[in-house]
Amino acid sequence: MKAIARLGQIVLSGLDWLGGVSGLLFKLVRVGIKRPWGIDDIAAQMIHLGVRSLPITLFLSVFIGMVLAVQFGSALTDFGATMKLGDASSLALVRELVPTLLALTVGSKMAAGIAAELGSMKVTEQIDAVAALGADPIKKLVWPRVVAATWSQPLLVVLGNVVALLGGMLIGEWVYGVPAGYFYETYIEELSPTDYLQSLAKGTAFGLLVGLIGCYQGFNTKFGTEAVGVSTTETVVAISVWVIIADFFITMAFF
Amino acid sequence: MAQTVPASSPVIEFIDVGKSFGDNTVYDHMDLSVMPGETLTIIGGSGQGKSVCLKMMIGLLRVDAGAVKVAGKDVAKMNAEGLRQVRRRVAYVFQGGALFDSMSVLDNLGYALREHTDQDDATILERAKVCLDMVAMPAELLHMMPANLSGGQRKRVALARSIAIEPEVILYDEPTTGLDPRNVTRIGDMIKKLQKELRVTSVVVTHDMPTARKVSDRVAMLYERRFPFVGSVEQMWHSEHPEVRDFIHGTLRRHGAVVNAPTMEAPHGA
Repeated sequence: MKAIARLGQIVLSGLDWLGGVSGLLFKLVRVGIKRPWGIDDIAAQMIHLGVRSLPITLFLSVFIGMVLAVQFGSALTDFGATMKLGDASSLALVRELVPTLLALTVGSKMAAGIAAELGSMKVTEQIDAVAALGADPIKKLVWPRVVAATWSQPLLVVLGNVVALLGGMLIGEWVYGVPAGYFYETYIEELSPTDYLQSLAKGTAFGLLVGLIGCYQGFNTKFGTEAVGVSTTETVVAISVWVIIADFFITMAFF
Repeated sequence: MAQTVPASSPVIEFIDVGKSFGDNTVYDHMDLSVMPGETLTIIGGSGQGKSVCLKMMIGLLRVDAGAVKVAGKDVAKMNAEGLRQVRRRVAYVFQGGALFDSMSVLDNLGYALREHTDQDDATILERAKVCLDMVAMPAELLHMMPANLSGGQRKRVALARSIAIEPEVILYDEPTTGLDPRNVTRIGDMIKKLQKELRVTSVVVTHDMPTARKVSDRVAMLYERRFPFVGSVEQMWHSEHPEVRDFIHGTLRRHGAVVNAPTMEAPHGA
């Protein structure tokens, strides 16, 4: 009986969390469509979340491209088809690996940062202070972060796709003797506009999740010394779970 | 608010208020009135809900039952614009200052002005200097970040931020907590000074009896979800209410018997 009660509690708290995040999205849309647009705040957050994530994005993407090329190259060598390395790598990288792995790594970093920042503001009553000074905390704090994350993530995915291509190209040339020009041509030929669209759609959806979950966790940080740490950890777990779930549904939608 | 509320009518009024957090009932049929121009100090033990009272006054928390009225209007029934107008006129000084860490002192002081007015940067800078001067802080601090300020300085900057928009009511949430005795005296003096110079209505939540004695026109004691005592400082010192007497003298009881000596005597002339 205890196990059933515990399971029920988990389900209820999960539904409560989902309702809270949905409620935040609803409030966000309601305040977001009203002027002012908060362009300065959005730009500041894009620098904070997006531009400062460039080094880690470049680093991860080149290794994602290289690792996949090594794995595919090894399999293709058995069939004497190493020249197909560009074709084989392109779809997996653009449709799946780059957007998803960047969301799980760079996106988690962004969301944890948002949750920690807003959580600290909650604990020190700065969020209440925003409201007490006559501003709307959703418009002032959540709106710029969610918009910036939703725009930054697909742009990072575009950059990641280019760098992953270069990583694959390096391995193709140096390890399997596939000429870089040929790798590039076969890589690009394999991709259709829908593949680029799928990559961008995933980047955008994951960015929205990153911003929304980070802000929700930050706003719901409890008081106490451990609260910000707990909130940040829960954010990373939530991002991992919801990115994978969203990935499945977006992939099915493009199937 | 002073313009819209007759001097005999409360500027802030709690009517039959009930409030709970889960199983913890904080208020039950609670009533309280704050009159224009007065300084009302709310005292009471830790965790009784003194800060909750302040947060209800500007709609940061909502009542479960009853009503909180500011200038005769029910805060719970206000839309976003109504609440914005209340927060334009009622300033809140948070316990830890709640200065925005990512902004300079100048940006903190100008925050409410940017939200509520169309003033340009030069006007905001001038106003910020005036506000800092009122809390005896040098203008050189304007470009510093809150992290570089001491606890006392943060409280005074928070005080300066609250007066930047020229409010009619200032709510102080434990303004002297965590400060050394000299800063406690300084903050108490400033509350008196602001009340005198700006003629604001003030509500002060504090545990600190010397500060309460210094700044208050009236004192309200929160005990068991209501205010069993509301009266002048003199009435408080001579109150026969056992909880008031125990609180101001720091008396501890076990099974009804006193287990320590009183820590504070009534002031001369009180």
